[in-house]
Amino acid sequence: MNRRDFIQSVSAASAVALSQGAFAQAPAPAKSKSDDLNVGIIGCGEQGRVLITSALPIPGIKFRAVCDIWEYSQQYAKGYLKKSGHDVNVYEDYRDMIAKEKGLDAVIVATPDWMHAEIANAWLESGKHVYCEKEMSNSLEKARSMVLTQRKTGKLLQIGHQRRSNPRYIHAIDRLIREANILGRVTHAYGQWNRSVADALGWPKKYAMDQTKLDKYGYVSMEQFRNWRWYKKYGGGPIVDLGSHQIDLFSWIWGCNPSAIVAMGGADYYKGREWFDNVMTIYEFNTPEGVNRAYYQVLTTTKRGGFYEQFMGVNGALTISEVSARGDTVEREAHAPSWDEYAKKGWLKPVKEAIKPTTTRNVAVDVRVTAEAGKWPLPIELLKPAHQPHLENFFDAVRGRAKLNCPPEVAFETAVAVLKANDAVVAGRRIEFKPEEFKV
Amino acid sequence: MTSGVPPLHRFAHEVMTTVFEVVVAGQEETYARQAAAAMFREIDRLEGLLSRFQPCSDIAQLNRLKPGESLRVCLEAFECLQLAAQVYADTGGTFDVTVGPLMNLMRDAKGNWQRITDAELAAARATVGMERLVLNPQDFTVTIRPAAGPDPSACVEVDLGAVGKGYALDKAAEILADWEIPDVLLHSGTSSVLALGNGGEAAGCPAGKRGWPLGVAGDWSREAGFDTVLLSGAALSGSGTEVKGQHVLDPRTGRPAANHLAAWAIAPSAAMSDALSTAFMVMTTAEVNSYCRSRVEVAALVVERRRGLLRMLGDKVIATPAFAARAVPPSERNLLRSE
Repeated sequence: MNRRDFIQSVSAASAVALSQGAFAQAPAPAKSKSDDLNVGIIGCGEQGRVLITSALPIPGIKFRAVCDIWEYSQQYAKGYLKKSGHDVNVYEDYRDMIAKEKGLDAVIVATPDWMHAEIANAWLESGKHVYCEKEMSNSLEKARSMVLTQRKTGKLLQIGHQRRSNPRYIHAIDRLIREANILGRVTHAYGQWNRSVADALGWPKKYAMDQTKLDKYGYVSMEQFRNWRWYKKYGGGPIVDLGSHQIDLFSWIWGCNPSAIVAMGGADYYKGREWFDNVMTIYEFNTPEGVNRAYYQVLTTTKRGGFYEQFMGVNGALTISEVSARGDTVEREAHAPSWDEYAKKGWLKPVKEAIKPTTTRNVAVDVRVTAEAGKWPLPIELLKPAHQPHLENFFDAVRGRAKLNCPPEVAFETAVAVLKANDAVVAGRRIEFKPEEFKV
Repeated sequence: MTSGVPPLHRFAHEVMTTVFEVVVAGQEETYARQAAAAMFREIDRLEGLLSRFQPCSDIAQLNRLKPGESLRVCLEAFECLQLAAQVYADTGGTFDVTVGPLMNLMRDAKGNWQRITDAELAAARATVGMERLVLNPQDFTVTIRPAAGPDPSACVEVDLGAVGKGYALDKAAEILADWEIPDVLLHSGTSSVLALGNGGEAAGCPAGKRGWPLGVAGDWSREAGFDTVLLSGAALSGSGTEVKGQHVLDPRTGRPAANHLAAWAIAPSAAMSDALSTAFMVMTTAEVNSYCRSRVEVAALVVERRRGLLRMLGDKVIATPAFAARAVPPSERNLLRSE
């Protein structure tokens, strides 16, 4: 018996032992079949796998079909889903899948960005609801076509800016910042996503696709297929891959789109990659309160500080990250009105106030010592995988019980703001946004 | 570089509060590095699913359930729990991933053993044990049973600990198999090592043999008469008192495990060897002996507190497939033998 056989036999043996009552079995939960949704996924690479894992715990979700042009990803998805109790049909070409999978209720699209519009539009046209990863597209024209197709077909299209469904972000932004206005005017925002230096992705030799197949699906080479995020044909580069999630928050906070942008960056470290490996950008927001600015950076040569966002207002600053250990507090400025009422309501966790303003004894005049702001932790923790609430929101909307948290119009506005950062790097000057650019 | 000996490539990655390392033999450096990167991405992903410290993980979610509640967990968490349940059942409850509350009661933050009353001990013991988890392989749900003691509403505290790390090694090995890298050594911070294929001359493998030489027996190697095993197609895990002091608790009694000073287990998977090395610390020598006798694929080495060292095998060489498929003469089936 080799290792793999052994491991399988242990799993099988314990499954038998367990089901035969080595531990009493839980009664099969009685659930209504009417809630079951038949789901397919197109694109089973790294992000597709995250979405599969995040969708499987949602009650009633039945994966029926998977699609990927790469045999390695097909096998992974099929095998993972089979072991998880979902038997799926496997497709290489999404058109073939549309032709044969008439019984699906919804599909998830997690392909490289450049294929989002074509695939999502085709599924919408075929009458299915679609959850499509962000960025909508690396081309605004294609992104626009998704908004139009959704409108025309009336099917649901959720774009994968998953912070829009994260209860921590909803609490921080909708309740604390927008409703309670605890930060006062948020004059500045900051976001960053820094990652360590990393090699180009490789592939197992035996799974290399031949050139005929690569040509058929529009990829120049296996190297470009695996590292599509770095090439202009297929993606938008790190500012889009990573920055999009966080730049999306700026317009959420201020309730409007940016009015201007400046940016610097370049393909400065990695040889042979097209997209900018570092981008630093400043957005200007012309809000009813006045001009507010947001700074964002994405670095791919250092992980210093990781990823988080900060919203800085005259009365305090809120630091948050999708991973709460990286950001989860609101700092109160000493002069701000009391936050005790929010603590009483459970909107913030109460803390002891830090140092009060005081006087020094040995000088003639009172000297105000800057009080260290008290740090108030956020009271809400996300208790599931980060993508699960956004998928739940989508599936609830498919069942007619919720409104989408990120419909295509919202995601389109973000795409306009984010893709412009690359344009601004190239232009090397301030670029103004026209309000109509954000409209479809 | 010694001429004629192909070099080994080593890559390390910090994850699961330790440093994982992979040593690759017989591959071109760039290919090996890309495969290692793919493997480390998989281990990062598993950490997110299995770590009790990450509030979104299935294990953290499980630990928040109230008795009577159920959770649908992912395949990976279910497989780890299933293996943990299997080893728990097969080793008389000496390996228990739910033992946390008992551990916290018995030992303070610095790890010193506490004086507690029998009643306190009994109450804590009633909150632990794999019986508290009902695993349903049909729908991957885990249901929490009420505790049998005075507080039926007590939550469980599942900590996959080393089993999670061992499982990550096994999953990483699957990725390397996809990459057709057969000769590789993987470890999770040295407590568990998975050795596949042949390390060859560069890894110190003796001429004419196949495998990876691994240090074993620690401070007792002189008494054991060997300090190395040659491993291939199997995993080796060690558990002992020499590093962290007397740190293993007997889940059956709540008291410090008193039988062995150290234990090593060899098994076909790292998740299994990890679980077993802990169990072998706790079990009596007779129990370890009996466990190994019925499983030719498992070997043990234990250092007895009283009688000195027990040897694992007559020779120092364990090589697979010879190891797994070896026809063991009846006299050698007793893998544990008193010195």
